[in-house]
Amino acid sequence: MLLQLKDLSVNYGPKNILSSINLEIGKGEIVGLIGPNGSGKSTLMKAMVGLIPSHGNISYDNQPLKSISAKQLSKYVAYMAQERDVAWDLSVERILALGCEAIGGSVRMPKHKAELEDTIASLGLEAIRKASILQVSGGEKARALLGRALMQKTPLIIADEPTAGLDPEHQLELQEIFQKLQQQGTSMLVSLHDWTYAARLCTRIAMLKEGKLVAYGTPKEVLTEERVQDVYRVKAHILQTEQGPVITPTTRL
Amino acid sequence: MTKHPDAPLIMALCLIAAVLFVTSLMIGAADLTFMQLIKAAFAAEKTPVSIVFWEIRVPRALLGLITGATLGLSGAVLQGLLRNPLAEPGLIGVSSSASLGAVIAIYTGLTITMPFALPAFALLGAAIAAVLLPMLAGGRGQTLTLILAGVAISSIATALTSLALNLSPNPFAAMEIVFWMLGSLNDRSMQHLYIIAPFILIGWSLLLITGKGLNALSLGEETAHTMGVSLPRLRFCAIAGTAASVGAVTAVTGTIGFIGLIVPHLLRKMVGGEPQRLLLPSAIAGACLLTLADITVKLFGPQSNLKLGVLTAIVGAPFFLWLIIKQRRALI
Repeated sequence: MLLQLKDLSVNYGPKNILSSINLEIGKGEIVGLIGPNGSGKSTLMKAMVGLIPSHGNISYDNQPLKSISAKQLSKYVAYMAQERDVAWDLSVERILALGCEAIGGSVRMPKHKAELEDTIASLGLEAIRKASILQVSGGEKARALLGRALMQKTPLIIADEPTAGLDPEHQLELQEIFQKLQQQGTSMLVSLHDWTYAARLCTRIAMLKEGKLVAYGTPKEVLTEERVQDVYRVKAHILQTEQGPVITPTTRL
Repeated sequence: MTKHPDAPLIMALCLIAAVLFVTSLMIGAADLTFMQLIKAAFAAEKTPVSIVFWEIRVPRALLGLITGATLGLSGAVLQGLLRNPLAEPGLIGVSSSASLGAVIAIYTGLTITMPFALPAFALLGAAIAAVLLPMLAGGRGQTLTLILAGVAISSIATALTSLALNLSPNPFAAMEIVFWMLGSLNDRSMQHLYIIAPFILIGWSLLLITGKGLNALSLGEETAHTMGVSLPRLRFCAIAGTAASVGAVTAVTGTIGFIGLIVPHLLRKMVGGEPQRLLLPSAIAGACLLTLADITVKLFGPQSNLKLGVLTAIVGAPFFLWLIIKQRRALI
């Protein structure tokens, strides 16, 4: 297993944010992490990469997180934070190169230079490779930051709401990129708010409610009208189409 | 391997620093020609000119380079660490704490009996600030709490310095404190350089290894952590490196502002925003700028009594304003 969580709990003082989460992610999976605001999605992702202290076991490739240094962790997992602010005026190309440098590489070396060119091509960043990250659009920035994560060449990518703020075209574009990566054997854990998007993108879905994992399975198993009603406190309508399900919230309970 | 993209800039800055260093050696109260100085430099026996050269001009010029390099380098590192272009070495409270240490040494009269009590107390002040800062900022030491802790330390040190001035036993002691605080390279000897050398070397070493971590930090603290950067280690290197080197130069020169703030700004236009690429050029450009400022002070002559720290502030503040206006125009 690439990532294994056993009885993972997170507390902020006396408050229990996450309790007894058990989750496994294997090779080539796209796992969607869904749940209402405040259900603990971001906390779970941060705990997985050791950004916040937790109890229980987290292991990457059967190696406990506690025994992995920050340097080693950067070779197991690449993380895309919800915050997309870049402090300085760096070019898109340099942002990608930082991912390579994180694992001890350098784009001045032919092998890594070739990887950089491949990633730029696969993400369609050719036209903006020299542009400042501070001046590109939201969609381009999301792709550039994903490119940085890809350049770490990790078997797993954890992305916290990668589609937030993207228009439908760029959301679909990101979906295609994720699916292409999956075909190449990369696994992903992605937190999402759009059920339809999650159902079409993910191989499995983990649903959180008040810090507990209430369901983990295929989109069809997890995204039922009853469960959505119970977890989100809204009525939802599920329509099956040739392109996959369309799940629409209808009324608030 | 391709050539380093900043090699021409670094070489040009080194050349400017060398020219300014030699110019600084040539300017002083005594009117000496270049040939006289060359002879003095290689004189087998001590002559009045060789004493002026080795005991007055060389320490002052070297101290100018070292102080400027320290301020430029630490400014670039702190701006990268705090992800803020307004950060400068004074922000984390090290300079004001070093000043407080020096002021205590003057106030208590220790400097009369032991001349080196002043740098020693200033170094102690900087060390106390460096220990207090992470304690106040908390274990996780995030950017905002680090800045707030630095501001708090600075405020306390400034308040205590004002208290020392207020309660100063006589006007001469108060005048000495004020003059020292204005910052100067005047009348510093090789002994001063020997005292601060270990702290400077340790400080620079710690600051120069932060580059890669600061690059990753451009993308945020969470992302940097998952890019293999140990944030506690990075913060330690930046803060301890600044405390050691800026504390050491402040201990000998007094407070010299604006160099650490302006130099990274100027260079960002040339090397781009990448923090790592800014470090070495900022150090050399800082050395150039401070030496140039000291040459200007020397040209005003000893009778003007113009202090270096005053000049850097008077030139630096409007220049910084101009930079802000220029940046604002670029954003419109």
